[in-house]
Amino acid sequence: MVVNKENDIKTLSKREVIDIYMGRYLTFPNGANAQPLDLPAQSSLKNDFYLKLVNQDERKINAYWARLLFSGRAKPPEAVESVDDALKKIKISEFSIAYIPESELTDAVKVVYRLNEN
Amino acid sequence: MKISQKLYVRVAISIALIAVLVSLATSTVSYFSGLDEKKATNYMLVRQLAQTLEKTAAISAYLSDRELGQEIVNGLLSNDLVKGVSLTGEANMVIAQGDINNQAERISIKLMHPFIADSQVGSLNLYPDDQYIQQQAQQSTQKEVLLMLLHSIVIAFFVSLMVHRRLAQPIQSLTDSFASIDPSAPQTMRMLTLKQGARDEIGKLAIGINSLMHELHLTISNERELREKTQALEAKFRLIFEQASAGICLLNEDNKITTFNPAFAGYFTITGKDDMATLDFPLLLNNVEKLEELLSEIRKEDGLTQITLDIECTVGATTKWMHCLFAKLTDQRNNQRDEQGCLIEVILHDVTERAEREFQTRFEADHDPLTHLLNRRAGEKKLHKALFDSMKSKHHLVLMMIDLDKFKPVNDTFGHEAGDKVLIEIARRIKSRFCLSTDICIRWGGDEFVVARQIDHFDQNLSAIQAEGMLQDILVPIKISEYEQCEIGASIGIVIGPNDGKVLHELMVNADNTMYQVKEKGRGHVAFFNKKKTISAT
Repeated sequence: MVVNKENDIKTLSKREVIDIYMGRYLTFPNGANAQPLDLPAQSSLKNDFYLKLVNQDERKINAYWARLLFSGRAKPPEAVESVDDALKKIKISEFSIAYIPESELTDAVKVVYRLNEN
Repeated sequence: MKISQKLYVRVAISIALIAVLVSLATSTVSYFSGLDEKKATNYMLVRQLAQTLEKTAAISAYLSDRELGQEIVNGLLSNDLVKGVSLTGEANMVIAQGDINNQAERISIKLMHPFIADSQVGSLNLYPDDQYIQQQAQQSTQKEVLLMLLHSIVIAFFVSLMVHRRLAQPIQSLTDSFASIDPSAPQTMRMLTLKQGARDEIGKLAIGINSLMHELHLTISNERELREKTQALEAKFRLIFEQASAGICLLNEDNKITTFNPAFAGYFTITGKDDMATLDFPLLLNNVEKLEELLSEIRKEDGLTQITLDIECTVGATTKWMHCLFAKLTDQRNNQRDEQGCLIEVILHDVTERAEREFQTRFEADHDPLTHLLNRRAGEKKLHKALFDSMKSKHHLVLMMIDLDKFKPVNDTFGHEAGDKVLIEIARRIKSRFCLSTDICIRWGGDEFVVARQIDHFDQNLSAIQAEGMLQDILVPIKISEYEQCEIGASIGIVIGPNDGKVLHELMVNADNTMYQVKEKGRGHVAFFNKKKTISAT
């Protein structure tokens, strides 16, 4: 999990990541707004991410959001086109947060959580 | 209340009563069990309702999404079964709506974290509408009970209808036609009406009764006919038996009278008494032992079937003579009875008058009318017999020839009447001295008498004393009238049979001679016949 380097958050717990990504909180734990980014649909990376995070595949996640569509309070993460696109958005916005594979990690972003850690 | 006696009504009432009772009982059971079941079902429904919304509720609790929560609560409340709903979630989210006071009935579902296992994010509580559930259950069970009652009544109705059709009606018609039969009047015993082709139990019953009645009818008719015949016959016989002038009775093996007719009773009932003295037949008659002997003889002898006999009997003070016919009865059915066991019929009638007349005639024929001693003819006959008997039993017959002395002068002096008086008195004196039943006293001729006695051993002295005694008797003066009396003597000649004669004629001649010798020797004494001297005077 990576964020803008300017972001105050140094590290996040798995629960905090879930809360942000599943729409419970629209902010980081410190109160700053949080804008989660989602990789393109039907990508193996996205699927892997959700499996690792909440042990649910993409289809179930879609169903979850569909349920919340009408109450309208929570919003699903904003979709980006690729990992690069995600990295680009993080560089320009200090509220954004995204998941990327470790191999694509650059110094331009700050790692706040590693999914392999448990 | 009087319940109809008719079978089908009673069956119907019983069935209906039982059906109603059973359906009431089952309804009660099913009502309560149904109530519980309905309640359980409804609770389960409520729980399932809650479970269908569990996921969404969990999400709303997780997100503290009031709008979503409210929507869920409203959705649940719109259900009739649910009275109140409360939803709690993260961040103190509490949504409560409706009646949530009944904690006991609460159905609570834990809302789990949608993404993290074992983490509760809130709870969903539903309060079922008990009243509604109860009402619902009641309605459905009531309907069930009503249906069951209706069912019972319909079944009872049709069962009684069938019972009436198939059982009560045929039985009724059978009973009606049976009631028209009077058992005492066989002509009413006609066939019972029977539905054609009825082959069920009632049909068989009717057929059975009919054949039974047919047989019964025949039997009764026969019996009746037979009885009428027997009665007519019995009346005839009874008439003969009761109207018979002869006395009739039956004797059993002990000579006891078992049956007797009025004439019989009349003979043996003492005037003024109601019953006969005894039912022991021989005791009614005079010679008991002889009669018993005779009766047992009749029983024993096979060839002897009947005997006629004149028997003397004494009823009260009068003596009667009965002419009796004894007949052995042989059983009609030819049952061989043992020889002592047969019945004897006695037919008797009163022959007293005839017997007396006969007796009188015989007496007159045999006796001298003046002295009532035996006359010469009858006396001779008796003497013959007495001599014969004496010889046979080695006895002796003492015979005295008595001739009165000086009788003719009495006759001449005092007249015949006085002479008769003398003869009667002498005869009385002779008779009183020779009074044994075997003694024979005879008026032999005008003033001649013969006396005979049988003795075991001849003793001349004893006989002499007897003869002397008699002579003394004769010598006693005889009163002829108030003022006159006369004395008569006698000459007596004695012979001893068979010593002095083996035949009567010889004996008589010897006696006569002996007596004449006495007369010649001066009269008035007794002499024994003596062969050598021809006479021996005492």
